[in-house]
Amino acid sequence: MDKDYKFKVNLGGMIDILSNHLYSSPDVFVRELLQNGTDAISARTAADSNFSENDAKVEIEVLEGKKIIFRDNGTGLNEEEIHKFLSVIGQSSKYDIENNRANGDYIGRFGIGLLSCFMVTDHICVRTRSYKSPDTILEWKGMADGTYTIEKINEEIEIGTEIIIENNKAEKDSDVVDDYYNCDTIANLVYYYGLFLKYPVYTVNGEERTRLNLKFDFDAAKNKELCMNMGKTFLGEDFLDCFTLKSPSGLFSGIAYVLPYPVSANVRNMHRIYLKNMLLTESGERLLPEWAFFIRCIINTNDLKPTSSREDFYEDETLDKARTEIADCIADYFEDLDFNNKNMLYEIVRIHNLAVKSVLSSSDGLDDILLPYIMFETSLGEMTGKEITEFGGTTFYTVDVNQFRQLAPLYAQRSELLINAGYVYENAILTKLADSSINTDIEKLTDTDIDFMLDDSDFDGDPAAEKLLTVASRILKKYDCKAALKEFRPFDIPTLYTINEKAYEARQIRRAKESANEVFMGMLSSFEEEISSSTVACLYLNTNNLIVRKLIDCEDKEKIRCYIEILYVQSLLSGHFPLLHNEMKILNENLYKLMMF
Amino acid sequence: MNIKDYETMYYADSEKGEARVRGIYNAILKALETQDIPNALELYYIFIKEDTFESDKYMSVIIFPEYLALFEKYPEYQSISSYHLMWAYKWINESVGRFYQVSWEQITNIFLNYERLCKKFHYNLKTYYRTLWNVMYNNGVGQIDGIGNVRECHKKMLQCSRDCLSEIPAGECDDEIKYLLFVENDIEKALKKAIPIFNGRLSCGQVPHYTYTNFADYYFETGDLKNAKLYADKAIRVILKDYGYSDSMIYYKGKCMLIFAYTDLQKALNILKRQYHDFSKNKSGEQCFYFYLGAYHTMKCLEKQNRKTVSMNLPHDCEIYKETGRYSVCDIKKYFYDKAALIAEKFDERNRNCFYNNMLKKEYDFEI
Repeated sequence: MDKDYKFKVNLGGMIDILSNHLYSSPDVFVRELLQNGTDAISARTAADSNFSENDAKVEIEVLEGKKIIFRDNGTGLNEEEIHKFLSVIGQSSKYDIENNRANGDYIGRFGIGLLSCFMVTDHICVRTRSYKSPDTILEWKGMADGTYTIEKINEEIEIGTEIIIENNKAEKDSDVVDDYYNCDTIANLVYYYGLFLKYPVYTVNGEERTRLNLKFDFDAAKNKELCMNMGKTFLGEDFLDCFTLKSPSGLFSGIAYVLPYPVSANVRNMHRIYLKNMLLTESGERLLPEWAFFIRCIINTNDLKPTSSREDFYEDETLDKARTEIADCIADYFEDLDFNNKNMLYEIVRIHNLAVKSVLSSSDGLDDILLPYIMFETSLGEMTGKEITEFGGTTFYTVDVNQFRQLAPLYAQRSELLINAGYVYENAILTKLADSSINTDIEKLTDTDIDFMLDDSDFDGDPAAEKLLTVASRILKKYDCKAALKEFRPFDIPTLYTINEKAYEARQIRRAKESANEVFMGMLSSFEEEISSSTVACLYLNTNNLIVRKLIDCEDKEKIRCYIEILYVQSLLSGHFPLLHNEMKILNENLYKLMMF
Repeated sequence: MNIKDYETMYYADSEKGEARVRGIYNAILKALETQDIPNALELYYIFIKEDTFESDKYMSVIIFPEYLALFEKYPEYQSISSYHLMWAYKWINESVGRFYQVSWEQITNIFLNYERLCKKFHYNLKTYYRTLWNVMYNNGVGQIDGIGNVRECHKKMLQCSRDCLSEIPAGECDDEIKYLLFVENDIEKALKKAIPIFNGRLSCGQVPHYTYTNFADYYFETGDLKNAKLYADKAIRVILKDYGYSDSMIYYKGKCMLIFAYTDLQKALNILKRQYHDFSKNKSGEQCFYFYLGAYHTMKCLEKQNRKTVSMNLPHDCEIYKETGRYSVCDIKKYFYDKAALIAEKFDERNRNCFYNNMLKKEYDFEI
């Protein structure tokens, strides 16, 4: 007969897992206690009409090396609540079980926070006086082995809760645990986690009370100087600028900072992300849009769901929404700069060109604002989108960096514009720029355009030049390249090699075929076959150049062959094309032959 | 120079994907120029990994023969570089079937050569059978003469123990889910198998992205639009977050677009408009087919809603490019269909079946 069995839980082991393995560092016990304290105060503010929020406080007393006492004047707990909430793992007073949702005003929700104290002690003592039954003061003592006791005590305490942890951990790395029983350590941790907590947090030393947290309202963060100082203090940078982040749906509020130097998209930025004013994480990759890697932020959110370790957020629709709204805030900031502080926008785009380009390529809303500021590498130096659209006439862009390097000097000599769109994003952005431009046509460079840009040669029709062209074409045929006579500047460039994308691919396939074994040879040939019909390569001989002029006068066919092949390889090298094995060999052989002439 | 120096010099600051691939290739050329063979071998591996996971896999298929030739030319480095070479070879096995240019005879020879190298370097054949059933399944090829069919290969794969070429657990689990869904048609088992992926215990660069899409695809093809949309929503969220600007997930973006065409047309249209630029550079026939298929159905559904025109930011070199950016839905639908049909024709000719054409011609009679 089937029998129902129940799991048995090793409570001590469970506590060990929760307290020692869930959290990344023992530091978090301070966060958990601050959290419990402020949640209890929020609850009392809502429920006890005799209690004023102005009287709210959390006090921390440290007896050096021995004991830490956390006090709050929140609701306190009665005996029933102690059994229910302090002694059942996973049950939180902040969770509305009937409606299966967490109370929105509270930070905690899992009922496991108090256990984090077991990382620094073996006994937790909770003394509490509930506002509902102020005549009774109870003391709960929980042990790391999973046992606990409750008793009534006569000692007088305020309404609220006092948590006492003693430096008595049996198995410990003593230096690590001892360090927590120190006033400065605790003050630093309060400063770190609870700087923006709504209620005042004090350290108490005899009669002396020192407030540790700030009175700061994210929603009202208008003072720019103060915000910049905060950025320097908490994020450690002299930022270029800052702006407020305010969610239209109330999901978050905060301050975003623009880094003063370029960063790679792969670098993980540090932020300070607060959940209900308590620091949740310093890693904000999941909250910020992927492209916002040039931004750092201090941000407080109320509605995002933390994971149980409270060191990250769940990936859900609310997080998606927050991400979208943060993206909108950044867009609004750019729009504002465009109206009110153009110099700052130029500066940001100059420093974070790549990031801004990625913003543009991924969204349509910012085109009008950002396109004029984007910097492009052109044949006439760096130019902004605005300068390009005002240039007039037809300008060209190439998606091949090597082709740009090869052609830029030629375009510069003619004071014409060639834009380098060989890097990621440029192509997409130039398409947008072309769409937005009225005065200037921006077109992708084709081989016909290159041919058209180069001047017809004065030697056209000259029998010697025609002869050279015939010979050169014959020589270059085996390299799938044709020859043409043109005039161009600068004069000291003898040749120009152009190749379309397909031909470039074909070169790479040919390079692979040079070493491929028979297993892959057929496959590479199939790829080559498919693209061979659309490959175009051309070697332009500059009849303004002295070497080419000498060649026109040269009668020795063998000498012409040597020079043409050398010029061909030289043009490949200057265009940064990887040489095929036979091309390197040709260069050496022809140099040798020249020595023999 | 060590490998880090090459990275710093050639590709550390490059964006993922095509730009980075180009940078790594320049690093390879430098290493070869200086006869730095161990680093050249390592850079080839880095190149193929980057192109496989962040781009369209085209260049890795082209460049791999160079890598293999260099590896075979220098036997003295084989003991240190065979592990990475075999990983790269495994990725190539997965990629070659995605290009209609590669014939089945060539694919078979590439696999047989992989089998030979597995034996030579003492790896078992688990990855050989895994990549084999996948390439057969992906092309609707039931059987390869002399090798076997999808089920046999899968069975032989299960009989082999894991070794250091095996997929990481997340990838292996995702693969099994694909098999259960599409070969065994067993949704219950697939859902159970997916639990560690869905609760986040198993994940990697491509999981749960692939898993969500496969479930969405399965539900869509079985007519359960509600669940199809549920999983497509989950899939597209992680895909766009991790691969928003990358063309390595075009296949999956296309699949999601197809599902959204019938469940959330605006979302389908957004994917099409936002991803078209990255997609238009893609050289993988398979990936392009699925993107065009999704785009075609998106237009078809727009047409059903009596939309006459649509604005699209097509690249200038696109055959139907218009300066106005405004296109007739009917024309653009035909354009996407024709593009998909051209690719389908080539794949089916290569595969000697109607797998792609059947997919293209399939009608979905869902109410939208």
